[in-house]
Amino acid sequence: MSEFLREQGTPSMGDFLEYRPYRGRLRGPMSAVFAIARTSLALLFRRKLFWGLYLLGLIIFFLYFFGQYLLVWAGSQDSGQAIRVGPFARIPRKEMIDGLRNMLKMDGSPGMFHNFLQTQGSIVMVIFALAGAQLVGNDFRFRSFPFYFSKPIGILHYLLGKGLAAAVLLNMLTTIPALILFFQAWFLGDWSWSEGKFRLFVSILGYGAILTWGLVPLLLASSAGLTRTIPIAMFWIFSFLFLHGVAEGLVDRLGYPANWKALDLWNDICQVGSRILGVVVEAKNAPKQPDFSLVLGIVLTIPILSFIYLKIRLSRVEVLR
Amino acid sequence: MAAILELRELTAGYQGKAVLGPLSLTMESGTLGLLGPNGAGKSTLLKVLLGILHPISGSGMVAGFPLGSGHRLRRVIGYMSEADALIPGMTGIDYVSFAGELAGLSRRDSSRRAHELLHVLELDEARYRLLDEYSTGMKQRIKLAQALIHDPPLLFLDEPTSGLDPSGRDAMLDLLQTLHKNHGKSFLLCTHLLGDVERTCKDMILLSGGQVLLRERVASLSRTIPSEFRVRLLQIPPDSVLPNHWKPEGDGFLVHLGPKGGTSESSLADQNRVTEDTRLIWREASQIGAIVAHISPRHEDLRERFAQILAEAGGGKDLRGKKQSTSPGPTQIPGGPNE
Repeated sequence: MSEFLREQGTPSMGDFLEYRPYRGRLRGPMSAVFAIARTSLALLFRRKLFWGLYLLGLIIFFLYFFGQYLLVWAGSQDSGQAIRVGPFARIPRKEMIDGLRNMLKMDGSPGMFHNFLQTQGSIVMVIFALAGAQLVGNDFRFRSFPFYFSKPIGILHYLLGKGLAAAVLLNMLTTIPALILFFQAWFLGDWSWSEGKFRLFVSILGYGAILTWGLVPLLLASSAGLTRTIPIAMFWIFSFLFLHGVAEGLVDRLGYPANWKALDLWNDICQVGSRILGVVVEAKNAPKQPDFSLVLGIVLTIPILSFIYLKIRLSRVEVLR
Repeated sequence: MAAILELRELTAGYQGKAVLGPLSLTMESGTLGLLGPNGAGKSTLLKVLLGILHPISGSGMVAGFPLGSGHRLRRVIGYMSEADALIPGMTGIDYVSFAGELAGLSRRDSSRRAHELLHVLELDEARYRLLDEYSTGMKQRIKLAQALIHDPPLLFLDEPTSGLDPSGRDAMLDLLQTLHKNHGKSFLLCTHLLGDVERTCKDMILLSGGQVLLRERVASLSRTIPSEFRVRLLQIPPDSVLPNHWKPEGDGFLVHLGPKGGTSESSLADQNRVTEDTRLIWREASQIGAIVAHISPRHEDLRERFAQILAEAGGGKDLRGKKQSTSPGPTQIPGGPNE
């Protein structure tokens, strides 16, 4: 202790820590967007349920990851050799390669990424159905808006922050694992970089962007409107399961025109995504598809309507009563 | 002194229908109490000042920023809402730190300042607890912390003592006084409690029907009423008859010695008159054989005065919309100097 402090007596910590003015610089409102997104994700991942769902998404990713590896490994074995699977089963090498390449398409082709993104997308929908209340709904239910809107941010910054959180969540399960699979396929292949590979890389990003565009605004709008988990989940079940069943029943069973299939929003998003990837969906999987222009129109319109609804809904929030 | 808040012929409302104004108001750096019954326009005024609602006409400046400059305006304002406005699942420190980031502080600065503020507001023990577990008093303090995080020169405090017990209320009002006196914070205190305004504010305005009915220094409101005293007696003999100007009130008496003109503020003549009046009361009490336990000049009851002002202005009849039916009228400003 210095001589001075000894003479003065030892001050307590409280004497040092008094209210102090802030002398730093205040940043613009766009910086708040990242804070909102980060905080929303942190709140979401405080719940074990979301870790569980995220791990489920990773299981599918590992299926593709090791499937690609297995295909390359099987290709490197002797042509006449049967490959042992587990303690008893033996699969002829050719059958295994055919199964992985043609049936499961784990060959790094656009078809593989289409299947992967479509499968991951269904898990994203389950997560979104459960996350909506946590992300946005609770702000309505617990009247948190005086907290947000008394700060130097506007509705746009709030929506961008929440949207960014949902987009990160979605892309953590779709685009980022797909890019990892892309680089894995590249490393396991011939290491050459061609225009086709670049196009595939951009297409994966494009598919991710379409999923983000199609699902995130709808999540924000449904969460703002319904606020609680059960109604939000029911809305998602209606939109993506019930309408899927209705569209399929009308077109494939009752013989209605194929454009009725545009009722199935998830199919619409996947149609646009597959077009971006350059994948022609085989007739066996999709016997009749609606006009692409109609599908594209729906995929572009629903998020815009969602944004308009969000703007109206948030403008009517009583920040002060 | 520079005006921190200045409104010129401001009119505001909803869907083009004015519910506030035209209002002209100047607030120098300091403390201003905003009083008024439900539907008086307090919330509308706060919305305009926060830049959430655009005025229909008129103009104004808040801490050097013109009204309507949106989120830039809110950089110089700290707002403590009446509603909880908490984010469930968040800890106290995360909440205040998040508020700092929304206000434009870097993550590091925000976190550091949040720790400091929670210490100053004596919440450091509870900083890692979830907000859901906070008591009402703690919630009020954390709401104040998030309003102070970016060190704004002007605070808008909406019912800061709402739901607090007497000791919690005292602590909150002391804190507000300290913030003003020691740290130069100006604040606009929006409340129904006259006692809160009396303790913390230098000036007050009374709003009703969107109009300013009264603007005064708080000190000048609490006037002594000349020749009226509150008296409490001990050992009053049975069957004793008190003079007619002794009116029973509560556990004592209100003694009105008749109008003599002037006030009993500070002049020597007034002081002499008070002394004379007091002697007279002692004499009258001793004549019936009672002992005077307490004697004090009567102060004007602010509740009565505000009720009278509101009644004169038709404020009780002018309350708007849904709130009108639930409003008990002009007497709904509870509390007073002794509250």
